[in-house]
Parts: sequence; C-alpha cells; structure tokens
Amino acid sequence: MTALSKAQTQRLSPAIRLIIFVVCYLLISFSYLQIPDETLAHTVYYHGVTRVCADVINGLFPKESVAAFQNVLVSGQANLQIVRGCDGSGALFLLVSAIIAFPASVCWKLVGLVTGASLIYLINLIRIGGLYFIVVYRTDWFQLVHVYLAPSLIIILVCLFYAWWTGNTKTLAHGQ
Amino acid sequence: MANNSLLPLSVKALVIWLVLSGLGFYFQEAIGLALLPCFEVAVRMLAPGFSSSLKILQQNHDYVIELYVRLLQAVPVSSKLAFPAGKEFTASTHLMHALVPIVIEMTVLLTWPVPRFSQRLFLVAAGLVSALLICLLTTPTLLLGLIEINFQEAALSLNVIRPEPLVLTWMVYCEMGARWLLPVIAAIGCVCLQSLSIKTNKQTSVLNN
Repeated sequence: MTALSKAQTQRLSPAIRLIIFVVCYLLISFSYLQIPDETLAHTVYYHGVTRVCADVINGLFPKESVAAFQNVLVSGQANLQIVRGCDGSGALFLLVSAIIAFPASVCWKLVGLVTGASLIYLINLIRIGGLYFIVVYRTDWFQLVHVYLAPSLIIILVCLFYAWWTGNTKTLAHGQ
Repeated sequence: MANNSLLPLSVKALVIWLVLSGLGFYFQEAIGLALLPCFEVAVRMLAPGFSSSLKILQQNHDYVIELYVRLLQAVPVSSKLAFPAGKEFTASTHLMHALVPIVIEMTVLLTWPVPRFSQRLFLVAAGLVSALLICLLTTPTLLLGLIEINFQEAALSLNVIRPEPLVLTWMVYCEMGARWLLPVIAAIGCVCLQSLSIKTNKQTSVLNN
C-alpha cells in the first residue's frame, strides 16, 4: 500500500468504517451459510470441535469416557450435538469485520485476526466442554448457560479483546 | 485506550455483565410481560395473514414466549398442497434468549468510559430505546420464522422448493449471529449520538457567548 493510500485509509470517516464493518459481517455470514451442513458436521465440527473437546475432557477427567461422533459429543451420560451457530462463528465474524474496518497496519490486523480467532476458538471449546458437564451434572442449568449467559459473555469478552487490540494499534502508531 | 486502563475496564465490564445477567434472569417474566404487547404489534404487522396471540409460559425452570397463529387465508405450499385457512400453529422461544441483546448492549453502554453522569444517563436512555427496537427486530421474527419452517418442511416433503420468505431469511441470519451484531451496532450508534449531542451543545454555548 502506498503512503497516499495509507493516509486515505486513515481518513475514512467513522460512518464509512461502520458501513465496512456491517458489509464485511454480512459477506462473511453469507459465505458461512453457503457451507453445507454435512461438511460442517462431518468435517469441521468433528476435527475442530468434538474430537478436540473429547480428547481434552478424557485427558482431564478419564472417568467421563467421552467420544466424538461427527458433530456429537457422546458418553454414557450425555449426548451433546454441535450445530451451525454453536461454533463461535457469530462472535468470530463480528471480530473479523471489526478488525478489517479499523485503521491499522496489515501486519497488526493479521495479529488481531490470528490472536482473536484463537481466543474465540479456545473460549468456545471451554463453553462446549462446560456445557457437556452441565448436561451431565446440572441439566436444569443448560438453557440458562446455553441461551443466555454464554452468548452474552463471549460477545463481552470479544469486545474487551477488541478494546485491547485497538489500544495497542494506537501505541504502535505513536511509537513509529 | 491505554493498556493500563484496560484491566479496570475489563473488571467493570464483567461485573456489569454479571449484574445485568442476574437482573435479567430474576426479572425475566416481568420484562417479558412488559415486552409482550410490543411483540404482538410487531407480529401482526409482519404477518397480517395470521390471527395471532402471544403468551409467556413456564416450562420446567424456564420461561418461554409462545406464539399461537391461525391462518386467516390458505397458505399454498405447492401447486398440489395448501394449508387451509383456520389451520393452527405454535412456535416458542426461551424468554432468556430474547433478553441477550439487551444484556449485551447495556453492558457495553454502562462500561463505556464517560466523564459525566449526565452522559451516562443519555447512553442508558438511548440504549433502552434501541434495545427495545432490537428486541422487536429479533424475537417476533424468530417466532414467525419458526412458523414458516412448517411450510418449508411441508414443501420439502413434496420435493417442492418453496421460495424462502424474508422473515425466515432474517431469522436464520439473526440466529447465526446477527443477533449479536445488532446490539453492538446499536451501542456504537448510541455512543456516536452522545458525541454528536456534546458537539452540538458546545457549538451552541460558543454561539451564545
């Protein structure tokens, strides 16, 4: 990117940045909806979510004997299915769009994307692992955590990560 | 934002989130009952072909919002099949699910650093109005989308591709994550509105002096 185009990028008004943010979000969301359910369930969720979750739970709590079958975490006591939208994608798309829309260097944006995506992935694994234990030991808490506490907490954590990321962008800009 | 202010801000955000979540949980029925008339108006506006009513029911430990609709006119699913007028459907969603956008938006607005209490009040007032609008954009459409799924499934069982109604497309978008986008956008909008009002006030006072 030339110095001129960098300056032009920095000068974009907040309203235009907000539009970029929303358009990016809609485009990413639309692309995500084009992925067939089978691909998500059999490949993405199996390799990326259920198998990892099962390994972690079995590693920490061997008595649970959890197995991953496609997009389902199965044990003798619970059967937890991961479906589209339960993969942290909503929070990830928000963060990716917000990072793209913010005036920062490409390098710092890449740092934000990789760190943010890793953080959301980790939080989501903790959420799914936690939900497994809730299904097993506190079934009546499931809806409270699944539909109410977990989604709002993830978004708040993503907002805080974004505040940290934007704050360090400024620090870098002053330092240069 | 300076790095040294991030830790107190994070603690503040988490405390506010916890308090708001607790309040939302304990007062969910009262909040739901207050929102219900607005939801009913929204449902009637979005689906004039249905006679509808909404109620809050307790299911085990949870509250759900249940939408009951009766078709006022036949709904064609294919050239061979139509749901006749008078056919009834119900759809429901967890009341807590409807409150999530409010918790997210109000947490952001109560955490957002402002120097004066009057500015905080402005953010809260603007936040409550926009949160109501978001609830109207998400919950009634979710319930109507669930009703529409009945028609889509009937068409699918006949190997007929029924065009997806706008309310169903919107519902899918919301449930895939736009439900979280809306409160964040609304919170940003409230902060921008507040900055604008401060600028306008400053300009007015400069002109008066």
